[in-house]
Amino acid sequence: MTVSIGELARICRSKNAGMALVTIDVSFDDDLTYMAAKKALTPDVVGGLYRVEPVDVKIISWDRMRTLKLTFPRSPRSGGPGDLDVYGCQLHAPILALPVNIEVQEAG
Amino acid sequence: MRVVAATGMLGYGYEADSMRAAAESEIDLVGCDGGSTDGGPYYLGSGKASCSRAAVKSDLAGMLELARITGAPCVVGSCGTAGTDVQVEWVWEIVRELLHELKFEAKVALIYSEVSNEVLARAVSEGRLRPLDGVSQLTTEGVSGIERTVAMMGIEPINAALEAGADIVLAGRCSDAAVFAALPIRKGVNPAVAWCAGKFLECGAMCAEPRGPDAVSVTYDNESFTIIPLSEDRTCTPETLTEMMLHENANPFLHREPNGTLDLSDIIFTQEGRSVRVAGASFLPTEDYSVRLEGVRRIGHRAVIVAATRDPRLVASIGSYLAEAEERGYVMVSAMGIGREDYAIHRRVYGLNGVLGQLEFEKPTTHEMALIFEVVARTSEIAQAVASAFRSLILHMDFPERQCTEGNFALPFSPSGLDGGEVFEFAVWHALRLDDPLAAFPIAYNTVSP
Repeated sequence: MTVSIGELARICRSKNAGMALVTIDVSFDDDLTYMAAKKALTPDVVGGLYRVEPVDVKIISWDRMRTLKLTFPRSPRSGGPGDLDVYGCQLHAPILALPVNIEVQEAG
Repeated sequence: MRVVAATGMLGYGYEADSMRAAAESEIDLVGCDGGSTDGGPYYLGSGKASCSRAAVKSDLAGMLELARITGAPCVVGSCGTAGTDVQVEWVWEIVRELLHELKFEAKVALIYSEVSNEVLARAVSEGRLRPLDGVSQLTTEGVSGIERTVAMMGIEPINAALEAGADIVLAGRCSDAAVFAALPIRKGVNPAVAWCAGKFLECGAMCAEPRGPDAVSVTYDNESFTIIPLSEDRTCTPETLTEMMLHENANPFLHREPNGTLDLSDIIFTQEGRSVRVAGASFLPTEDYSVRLEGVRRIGHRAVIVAATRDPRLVASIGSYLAEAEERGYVMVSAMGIGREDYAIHRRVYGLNGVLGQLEFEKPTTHEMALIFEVVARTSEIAQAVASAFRSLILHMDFPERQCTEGNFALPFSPSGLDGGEVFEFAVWHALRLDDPLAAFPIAYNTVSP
């Protein structure tokens, strides 16, 4: 079954981590959805969504809290020329829209 | 040992009942974080604060009252938003006013954190600067264009001021957690416990549920601390504390402070009523004592046009329309004798891709669009002249099958060219290695006896 992260995540938020980086936290209520998102959110995928080099995408998976943290460089920096979002708190929509595959076990 | 954080940022406010509750017990410190780089480079460059004088004075009034009743010292870090000298003195002026109004005698320490370009240049030549978060290394040429730089102090200058008998400490740029960790460490609390508590105290009741601007307090023992929101209507939980660890950090587990790294990899939360006991933090001291430098350069001055269209044909063709308008605008402005190198324009179209820009993936499905047209130029006069030229152009430029031949955009303001103020950008984001944690942070003492 294919569902968007936006339908699954309890929290999906972005914020500056300092003026040069954006950090995105995505948290889930159960292991099934968390593991599906963890599989889908790779540096290549995140790099593609945000037009950054995959090598510049750092992903931390905090299994105990079912939370993924994605961090990558901001362009421009906070308050830089043409900046659309000084605080960096509205950059999460591309993650919300990302489809993930959930392996649903058939009952019986 | 009990520490109270009045709220998440000086000026955000707190509930009167919460501060009243704080006054009912013994406390050892009332603190508040006064600033952040969240709001961008403007505050560091301009010396203006992001919270109003009224809001800051209101918060300080309750904090000073609490300090007076309990005898606890009061510490404010990153005064005035960016912690510049002017901003430290701005908060000092408000405090002095309040001390007279409250008839409260106090010794006030002001800790300055600005770093001159001479010091920066010397640090460059001595190789004591480490770029952070992928920024490029600073060069001597780069230093000459810097408007202002502050260094983020740790616990040492705060403790020096408290050691010297300060009742109130107003610090320039300061590690958020250090505001709350300094006194407990000075009084013998395990540094890991004190730093970890500081990390959660710094945002006030944003670490509780429901989130909001309000006070929280911490009590300490040898290996753990307990954090509780002062409002009876709030609760700290492992989930809310976890969100604080994630907040604004690339790594939720490792937090670098000037004198070492706080490691929260093995953190344990235990819910106890409305409070949470936190254990498992460790602090690894470092040989490489270094402070984060934040610096800006001045870019120029900004003019802003806000304009919106409700014309269906323009909405449908806004992209090509604005591209053509831009090309014509450059020619118009050049004919006025203004060189292309003297200004830059940025346009944001809401209803199309104003928030995500090039990252936007949705197609527009809207009947109206708003354009924010920004000009940044060497001077305010040039910015306004360029904005004015583009405004008259976009208002009247023809497009295929145009019906609204009296004007293409609704301008909500008169004047239409808004003064967007001075423009700065971050230019220093480096760690500076210090031999002496106190050397970069001069302290001035004042006694107020109303």
